Amino acid sequence: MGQSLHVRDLKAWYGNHQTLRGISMEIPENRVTAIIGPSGCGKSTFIRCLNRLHETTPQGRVEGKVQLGDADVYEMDAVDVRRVIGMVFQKPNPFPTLSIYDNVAIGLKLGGMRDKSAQFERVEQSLRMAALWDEVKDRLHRPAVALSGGQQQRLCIARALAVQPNVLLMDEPASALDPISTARIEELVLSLKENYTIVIVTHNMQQAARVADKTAFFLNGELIEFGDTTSLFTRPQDNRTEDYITGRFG
Amino acid sequence: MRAASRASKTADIWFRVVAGLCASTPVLFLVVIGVVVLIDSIPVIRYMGWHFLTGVNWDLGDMYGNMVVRNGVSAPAGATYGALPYIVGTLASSVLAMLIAIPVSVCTAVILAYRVHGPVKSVFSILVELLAGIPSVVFGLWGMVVLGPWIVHDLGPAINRVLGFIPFLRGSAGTGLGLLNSALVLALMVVPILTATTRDLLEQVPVLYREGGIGLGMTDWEVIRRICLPYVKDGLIGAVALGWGRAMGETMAVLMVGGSGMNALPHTIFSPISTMASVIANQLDSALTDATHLAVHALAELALVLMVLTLITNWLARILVQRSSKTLREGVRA
Repeated sequence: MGQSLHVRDLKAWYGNHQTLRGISMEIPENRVTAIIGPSGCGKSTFIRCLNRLHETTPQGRVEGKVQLGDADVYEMDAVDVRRVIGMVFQKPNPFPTLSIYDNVAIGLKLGGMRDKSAQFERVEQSLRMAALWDEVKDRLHRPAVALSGGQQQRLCIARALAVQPNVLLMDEPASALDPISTARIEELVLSLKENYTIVIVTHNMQQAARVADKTAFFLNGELIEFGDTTSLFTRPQDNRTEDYITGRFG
Repeated sequence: MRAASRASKTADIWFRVVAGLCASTPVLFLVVIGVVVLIDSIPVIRYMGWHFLTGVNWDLGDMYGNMVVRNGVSAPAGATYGALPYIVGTLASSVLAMLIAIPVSVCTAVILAYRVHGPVKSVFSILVELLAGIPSVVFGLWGMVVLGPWIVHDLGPAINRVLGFIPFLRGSAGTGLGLLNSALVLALMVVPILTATTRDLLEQVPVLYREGGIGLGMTDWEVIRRICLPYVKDGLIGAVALGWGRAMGETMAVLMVGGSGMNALPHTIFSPISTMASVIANQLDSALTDATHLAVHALAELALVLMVLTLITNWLARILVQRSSKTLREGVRA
């Protein structure tokens, strides 16, 4: 099941450059929350703070509080955080030296699942959830890099799902894909929210409108507006939100 | 359009001739050196046959007494050239050196590539590369003066205490000069190039793949073991082959710290050894006094064996690299 995320006064820096200026928001469980905003507004940095990935970049620094359910993410072991908060990246990044099967199974193996048949079952289940099973079931032991871009991205989703996280972060997951693959990813997002809390960063406002229950608009490292997707797009409360969604900038 | 001037055409012909000549020199040198060494070895090949590779005794014979003739080759009485101890010494010291150097280099490279940044990284990198610039005779001197006594007093007894149940690791440390000392000095000489190459390779692993691993909840070690090292495997094999070749051919340092073992195979890690390269350097002077010149020919055959061994290791590394990149290519094609 998904878990909610509570973010309090989150600030982030790259060296001396502050990219997040105190973000507070409640991300509801089992919903899709979209983060929109122009390039450089801090939306990617924001979700990279949620699974503590930002701090692994050189000179990356974070302040503030992130809570997953009742647990303080920044008090937990970072490796444990990333096992309950999965991530899908902008460019498909299946591990190039591993087979399709091993890409999905590696998280299970490292997590201590030794039983081969349980492992296989979970791999199949994850690939089915990612709507990839039928396309790869006959070549599970081929290298993952042999897949097309859209298939690779769905493989990355299956890889993240296999370890059964509570939250799935998606950083512009369809921006490198063609329209058909994009549509498949969007369908996937909608089908996954039943079991996961999903936070999706997108520069594509139609995409946010199609998949998200709630939408947050970021600008210059600040959260300008956050609300139900429909009301944010039809009756924005802030002028800057209105300017952005009507295409006056960004 | 105007035709190119006569001057520029002449210049181009000159360029082609010069470039062709320059480009063929490496191949030419390899062939010439190989042929010269081979021709130089022929008398000993006829005199010793396969016993050159299997014999344990190396004796220049009575150079002031009678000569004997065998297989049409005249030699000082009692001369015999068995190179096995030097072949074993070369392989044992270099393999042991690589076993020490590889983990040290990989760990250092990981730290340099991923853990330290900014000025610390550049200073650390420069220090490691400076190590590569130290002349081998200085390494040899350090091995004799510092490492030797340390092996006798501390390392040798410690190895005996902890790992003494393994026969090869049990025994008197003797003078401290021998296989272990050679391996340590060689390792130290190989570490800088291996570290620098591995660091460059690791820096080429796209951050995308590392973040994929981190994002999946892998620990630092798991990311390196499961993602980074497999990604750079080909390059790493190449770097190891290069370092190994260097360790096999290293002359001066091993001559100084090897203990000049002759006529016996090393039976413990502390035994004195000689490598093919160090024997050539060590024996050339006395070999030149051999009126039949057979001793010099014997050293030439040592050089031949050393060259062949180095070529074989390089070739093996190449095959390994080709095999693994072939499977990757096939994957992309499928």
